[in-house]
Amino acid sequence: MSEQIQNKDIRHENDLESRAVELTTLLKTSPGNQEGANSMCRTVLQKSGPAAACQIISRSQLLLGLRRPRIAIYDHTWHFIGGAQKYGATIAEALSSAGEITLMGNRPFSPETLAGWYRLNLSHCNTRIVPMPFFEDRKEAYIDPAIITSRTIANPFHAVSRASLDYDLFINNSMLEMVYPLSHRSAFITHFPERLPRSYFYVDRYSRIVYNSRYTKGWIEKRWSLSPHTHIYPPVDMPDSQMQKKESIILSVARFDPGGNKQQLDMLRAFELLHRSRPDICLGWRLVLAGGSFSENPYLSQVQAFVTDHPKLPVDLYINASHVDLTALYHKASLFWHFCGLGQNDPALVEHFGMTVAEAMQNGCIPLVFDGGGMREIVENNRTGQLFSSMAVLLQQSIDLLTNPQKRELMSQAARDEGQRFSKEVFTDRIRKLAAELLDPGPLTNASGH
Amino acid sequence: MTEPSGANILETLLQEYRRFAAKTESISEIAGREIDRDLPVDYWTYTASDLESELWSRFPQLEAGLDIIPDPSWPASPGLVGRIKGRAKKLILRLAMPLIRRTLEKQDRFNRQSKDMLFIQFLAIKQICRQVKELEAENRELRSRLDIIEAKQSAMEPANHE
Repeated sequence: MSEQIQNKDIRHENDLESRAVELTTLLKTSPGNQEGANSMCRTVLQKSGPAAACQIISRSQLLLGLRRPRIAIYDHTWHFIGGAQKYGATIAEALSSAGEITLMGNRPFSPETLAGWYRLNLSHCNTRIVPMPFFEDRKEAYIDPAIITSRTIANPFHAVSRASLDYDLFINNSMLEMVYPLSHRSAFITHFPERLPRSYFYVDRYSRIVYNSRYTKGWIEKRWSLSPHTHIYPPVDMPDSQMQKKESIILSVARFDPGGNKQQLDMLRAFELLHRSRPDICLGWRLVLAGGSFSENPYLSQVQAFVTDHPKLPVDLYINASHVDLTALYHKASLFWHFCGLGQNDPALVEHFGMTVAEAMQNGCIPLVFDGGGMREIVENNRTGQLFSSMAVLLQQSIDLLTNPQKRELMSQAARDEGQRFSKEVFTDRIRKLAAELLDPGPLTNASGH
Repeated sequence: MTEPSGANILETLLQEYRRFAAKTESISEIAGREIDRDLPVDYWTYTASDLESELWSRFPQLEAGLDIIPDPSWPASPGLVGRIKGRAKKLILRLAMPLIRRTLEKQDRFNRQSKDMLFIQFLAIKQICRQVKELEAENRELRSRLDIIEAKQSAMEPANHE
């Protein structure tokens, strides 16, 4: 029989919370009452299964102050560098004081590497690798959940579901809707609802659904028919240098996606056109494209070929730039171009948030970005930057800013101020509030307070 | 003998129930409820790649062993009357077998033909999709050319006013 997807009814969780309080009271009043504790747990086991029994015992241990909360943060892609993974790793740092943190993955990774990539302190984190033979046997570099299309294939992610039982709070940062949370409390971080609800869909079984932008929220509602609870923008912490003098640089920071989703080639074409049509105002201005790439990247080859074919065009490429170089570029650049989403039909290919745009703003670079996706939430048109929906509009906006230093000065300051909305401090504060809401004693309400 | 403390009781119980959960085969049993559901599907919201993977996932189901004849079995019929009933049913089945077999074979042929038909339709739709994509790409290219022309025009405007 068909069932509707709907937000979790947390009555069951709250019922278990009451049972845990009863068990705690029993052991407080008569600490040696093994018989009574046994009987209470057996009743829960019979009525609600072994997970519920484990949950009330674990919860009772916490209520009696016998140990710190155990928190697991799961991501099947820890070994890749990326914005979503930075989000998860920053959660781990933010919750260091809230309990014992375990970073859970499916392939080997090290917290030291993550700490280096994202400049975080993860020395307090344990790691746990949950192997998934289904994917290991296929010997593919990437664990692709999209291949699980029907229930004729046993759910390989249930290995993670089982592991979640060992924690008081299980945070799924993987967007893997096929992991069923068996911990007492849980949170599902949605960076974008990539897959439609299919055979194994358990997002509605999490205590809290967190989303990274209002754009993502809209798609969660549309694709999953769920109302997410908590909005937490990704952490953006690009050091700002108020004193640095801005130079005549248009910057782009985005990975060189092999499929060309970040559209650096279009930027080169736009810059070439700008240079050809208005050489007078473009005098002295450079376009700098910075971004990460694999060694063999056909799209990057096209970008490099374009630059070689246009030797007079002042363009610099920074491939896999170090953090120091990247920071220096942000400090110096006046304008920031981001084309991701221009001419795209697939909502997943539009920027869900745009972390580099926020980084640029924190450094007073004026963003000129595609008018769509999460970027509409970051940039306020004509005040903190410019939104464009076609190349013609972008070129006109660029000419306007290139010829108007006073406007640049004002907009740069507004962008710098606005960029603070996405700071790591704001992120940390919200994550801690969310964890406190989930871990503190007492019932949960369906609606979140954030 | 000293009484166990609350902490010891809880730890012992927790280990016991965790072992129990680890031995339990299905996640539904551990969770104490059926966790898998048949979710309503709105194919109109599916993207082309979603539909494609949905189709591929459904093809094996068409060969879901519809032929039940090789292993017929009857429920146990205790007592004399039950045995007579059972034998009568078996006799009827044996007599009707050619008809049943023909019907199932016909059904099986129909299933195979349906599968082929679906596959052909799937390929035809893929061709149409490719054509639509080509048209979209052409449209985008034309729009971007138009953008460039507009940009050139707007870039020239200030110069014309000078």
